[in-house]
Amino acid sequence: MAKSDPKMNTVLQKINEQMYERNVELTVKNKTLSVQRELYEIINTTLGIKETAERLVHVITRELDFRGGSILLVNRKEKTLDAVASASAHAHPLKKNVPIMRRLDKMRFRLSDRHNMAVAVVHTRKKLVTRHMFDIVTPHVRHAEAEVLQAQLNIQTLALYPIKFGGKVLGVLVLGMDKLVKDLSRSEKETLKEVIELVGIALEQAQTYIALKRANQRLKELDQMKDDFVSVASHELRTPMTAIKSYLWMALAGKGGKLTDKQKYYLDRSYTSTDRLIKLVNDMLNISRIESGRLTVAYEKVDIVKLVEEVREEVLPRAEELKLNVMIEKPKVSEVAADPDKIKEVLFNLIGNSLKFTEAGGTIGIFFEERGEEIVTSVKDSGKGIDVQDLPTLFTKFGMVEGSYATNKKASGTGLGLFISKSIIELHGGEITLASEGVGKGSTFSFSLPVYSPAVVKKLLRKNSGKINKGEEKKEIIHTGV
Amino acid sequence: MKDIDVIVQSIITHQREVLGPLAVDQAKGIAGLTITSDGKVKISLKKDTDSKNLLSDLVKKYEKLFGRASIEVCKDAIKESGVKYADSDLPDILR
Repeated sequence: MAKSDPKMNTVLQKINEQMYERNVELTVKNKTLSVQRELYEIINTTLGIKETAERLVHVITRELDFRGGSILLVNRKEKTLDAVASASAHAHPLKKNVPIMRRLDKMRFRLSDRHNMAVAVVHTRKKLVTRHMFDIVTPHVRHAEAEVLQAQLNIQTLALYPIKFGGKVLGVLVLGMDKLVKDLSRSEKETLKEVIELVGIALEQAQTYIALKRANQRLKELDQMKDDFVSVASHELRTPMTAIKSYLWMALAGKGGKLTDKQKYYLDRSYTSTDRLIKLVNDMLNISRIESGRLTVAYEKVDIVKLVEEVREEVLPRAEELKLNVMIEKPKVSEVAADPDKIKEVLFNLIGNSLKFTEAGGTIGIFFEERGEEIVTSVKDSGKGIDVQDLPTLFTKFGMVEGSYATNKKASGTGLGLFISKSIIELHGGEITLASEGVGKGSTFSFSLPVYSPAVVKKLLRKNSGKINKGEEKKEIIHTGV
Repeated sequence: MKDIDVIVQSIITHQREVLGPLAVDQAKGIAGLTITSDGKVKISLKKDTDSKNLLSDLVKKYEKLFGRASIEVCKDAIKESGVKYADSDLPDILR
């Protein structure tokens, strides 16, 4: 029989020991990970602060086999440390402890009371250990009561850990055990160390969630208040303004008798200003409806060329007044998916702008182009044109070209028309663009609309759900165009 | 020593977490210790056998194969067993 080699045995022994040590590390890590996994589940669940604290203290007490645990949180507003959750290994041993346990669950300590050990932990930001429960519950529980409770819960030591996050102390974790801290196993110490950090993260997350929820709710309320205000104010403003406008019109039409030139001039200025105010209120109401998702949009099959012809008929009297020529090119193009009333508003706005900014004798032309799955409609004028640097601001609220204030004032513009038109086209899945070679060189406004198909309508409804009114009380665009 | 079977059970359980079934095989050879087929520990000490010695034999068995690290695991197992004991109840190897 071959003799065993002593050197080989020593090597094998060494290998055995090293592998054993590695296995021990893995076992400890495994136990820690198991607890961490439970805590991560709590972190990933959106719960209130109290529920989070309760779940945390239950998991820690159970997994580490402690006699009991408690979480206290700092209340910065009240300057107190408040008990929010507790757990014990077993149900309360004796009924007579229940009143004390109830008091413990609701305890609140002033942060100025440094005799209390939990408060001391908040200030020192360091772990503390005591063998007397009284140190943690004073002044709410008498010394004798605390001793009796401690004995009945079989707690030998209480360890207090500061719960920290981002440099702040959020509160204190109190753990009651039936042994001394030095008698904790390596696995228990390792797990506890990892767990304390996660408690801080979980509670901070819960507090942030509550704060965000409150802020979100407040924003929703403010948004609703704003919409209600705009809606009510608009309605309340429009009624008297319409009356003012009507009477001014009647006076200007001579219904109240002949007017002097000066009177005509004053009344005319008043009429124009009132008209602008009414348009401004209407535009703001339209924007409010679009932005709050209360605008009714009903997509249907629309012949865009025919729609433009209808709009041309309506603007022709004004165009003739201004000695402007409005022409339409009439190619054969596919029908589009659109809400005809909304697109009419866009056309009134674009053609209205061209009428405003084109000198007498000029031309406004409307063209169509079918590009794949969309139809592009362009309104081209031979008017004042736009400086390249002004292009980006024109589609924003109150974005007007410099120097056009006077023109807009004369022609009752609000600076909101293009913003509203852009919003409407975007609700149709399209795009609105502006091209101009510069001042004095005319401008071309173009917008695209999708070629009609039921699938396109379905896609639009899905894309804009939340942005449009789904058939409750109908909210239309108030006409403010030409 | 009171609850010696709880302590021994805890040691074997902890060693099994590290070594697997090998931990049980090593424990089977200890005099006065019986491991049932479902892994439960039964202590049957003879009149003159000391529980301290049984504990010492068990720990030394692990130490012989796996070194000092295995003694630390045994110490942790005792701490986590929940049994109240005095230092004098433990063999020298575990103090």
